Amino acid sequence: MGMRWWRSWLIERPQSSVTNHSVTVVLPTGCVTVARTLDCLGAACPRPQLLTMKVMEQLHEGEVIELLSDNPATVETVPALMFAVGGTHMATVKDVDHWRVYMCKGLQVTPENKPSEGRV
Amino acid sequence: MNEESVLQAKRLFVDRARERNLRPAMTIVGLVALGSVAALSVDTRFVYLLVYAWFGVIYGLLLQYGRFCMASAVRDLFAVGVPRMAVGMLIAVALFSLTAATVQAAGFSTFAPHPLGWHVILGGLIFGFGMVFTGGCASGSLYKAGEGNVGSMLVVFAISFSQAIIVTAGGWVDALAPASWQVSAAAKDMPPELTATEGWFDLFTAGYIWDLKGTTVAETMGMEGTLAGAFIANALFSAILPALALLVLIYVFYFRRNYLRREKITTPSLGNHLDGLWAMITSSKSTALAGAGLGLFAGMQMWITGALREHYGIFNFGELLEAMGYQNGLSLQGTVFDPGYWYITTQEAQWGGWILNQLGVENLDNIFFGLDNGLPNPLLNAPGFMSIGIILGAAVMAHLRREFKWKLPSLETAVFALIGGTLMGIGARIGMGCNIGAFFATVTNGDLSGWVFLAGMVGGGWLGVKAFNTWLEWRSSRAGECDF
Repeated sequence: MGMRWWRSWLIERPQSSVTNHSVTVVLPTGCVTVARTLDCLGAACPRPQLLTMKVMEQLHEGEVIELLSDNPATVETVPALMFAVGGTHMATVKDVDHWRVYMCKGLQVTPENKPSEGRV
Repeated sequence: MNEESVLQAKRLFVDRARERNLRPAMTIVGLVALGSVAALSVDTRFVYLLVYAWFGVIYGLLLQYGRFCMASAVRDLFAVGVPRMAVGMLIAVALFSLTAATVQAAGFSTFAPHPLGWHVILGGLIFGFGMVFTGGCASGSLYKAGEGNVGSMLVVFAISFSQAIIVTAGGWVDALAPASWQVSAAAKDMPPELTATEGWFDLFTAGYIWDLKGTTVAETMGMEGTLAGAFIANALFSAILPALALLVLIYVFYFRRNYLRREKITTPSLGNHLDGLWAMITSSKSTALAGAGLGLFAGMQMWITGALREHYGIFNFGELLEAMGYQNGLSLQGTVFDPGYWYITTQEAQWGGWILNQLGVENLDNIFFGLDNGLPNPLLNAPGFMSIGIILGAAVMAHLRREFKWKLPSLETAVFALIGGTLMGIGARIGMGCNIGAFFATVTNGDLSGWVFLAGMVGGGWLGVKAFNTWLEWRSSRAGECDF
């Protein structure tokens, strides 16, 4: 049993993953449709940033990416990252032990996808 | 749900969370206080050690608050073109230099300039390369360990042991030292207990470092010990102007284009650029604020430690340890590592060295441990408690900000932490310090060798980012499109 547990995080624990989908999420500022979810739980910088940029490349203008991270430094750097890559940081939502960060490709944001600065 | 009820629910959630997280934070502070009382009840002279410990806690609070990490400063700039942390770090340098100048002017600075040579840039290069893989520099790994990041604890472990091993390594690695070092080291009048002509690090120290001279800008300009020397030569010329020049460079290369595009400015005037520069600077507020706070407290630590030394009539904690009856682990000069200010890597090397010594490794015949720093029991290692304090202080802040979480590394992260940490340890010994001891504490005290270390660290960071990206590409090409 104990050995199993060790194996699971040593060998089988996935580093990060991307899900392609189209789900609607309620943010404090309104509803958005998420095109990709990037799960970076457990990953440290710079991996989440590099993967976010990679996924952004595959998206079209206006599409939304959701990043799951439990690394505070990563979450905090997202607004600056969006500034650098020409995206829009829409919202950061704190769950019990991780954050969900919503970003949109491009500077154009549709009315219901209004960006909200700072943490929620 | 209407807007008000959402807000209400949010407030309730936040209140509950605060309640929940105040307890562990207070427990940590309580335990440190309890430990302090216990130490003082053994001997009141342990107050000297406790000053280190409590300042460590304060540094930890500030490091976590400002996310003070040189690794992210260098890496984010090159990997993703985000200058935020680099900007914060440079502002922190400028602010720190002012408090350092005040300390110098008041005459209680314990700073000693570092000798300048090729080793500084080489050490920085190795250190910078390693820290991209660990995800944190020396100070960053400590605060991240406090956030519950087990990977960062592995980094601290690797830094400790790689340093301890590198300063004692002998045999075939001695071939790395040129013959001239051998001659120069042999010419030094060394105590017979030491084997300074054996072991490459001893040859490096006695045969190379000791022949170099360190200096400050104030000394070069003949203004040492004056008010102008402290504020104009050491703070303005050595720290503030170089930091400003770098800020302008970062603005031009990393911030300007996006800023102008966002503000929809097509024909920018000088005023627009100044606005942009200001926007860049103010976007790194918390790091800059933490830097100012760190400067203030580092100055206070120098002052309090100086006052305690005067009170006990000592120059070094080793004398106090001897008076209290602890003779084990003192150096040949009866001293231990006791910088009196913010330092990180040397005490970590002592932890690793002490454990190896307990395991039967003979490592007191070298200059680093045997002559300079000693090898005290970790329970008596004052700067060591500063590092532990940093971890605990960061844990307190992380709990208060609801950011604490035990995070086990994946196998890949763990391997990176160990390899990167080992490289950082090697780089720190060759470059004579880490991002704090060799860069931050030097440039802010008028010692330009720190900028050379930074240049090396930036170069190493750039190479590290290239290597890391190549690794990610290789991984994703093997694992398929959707699994990185």
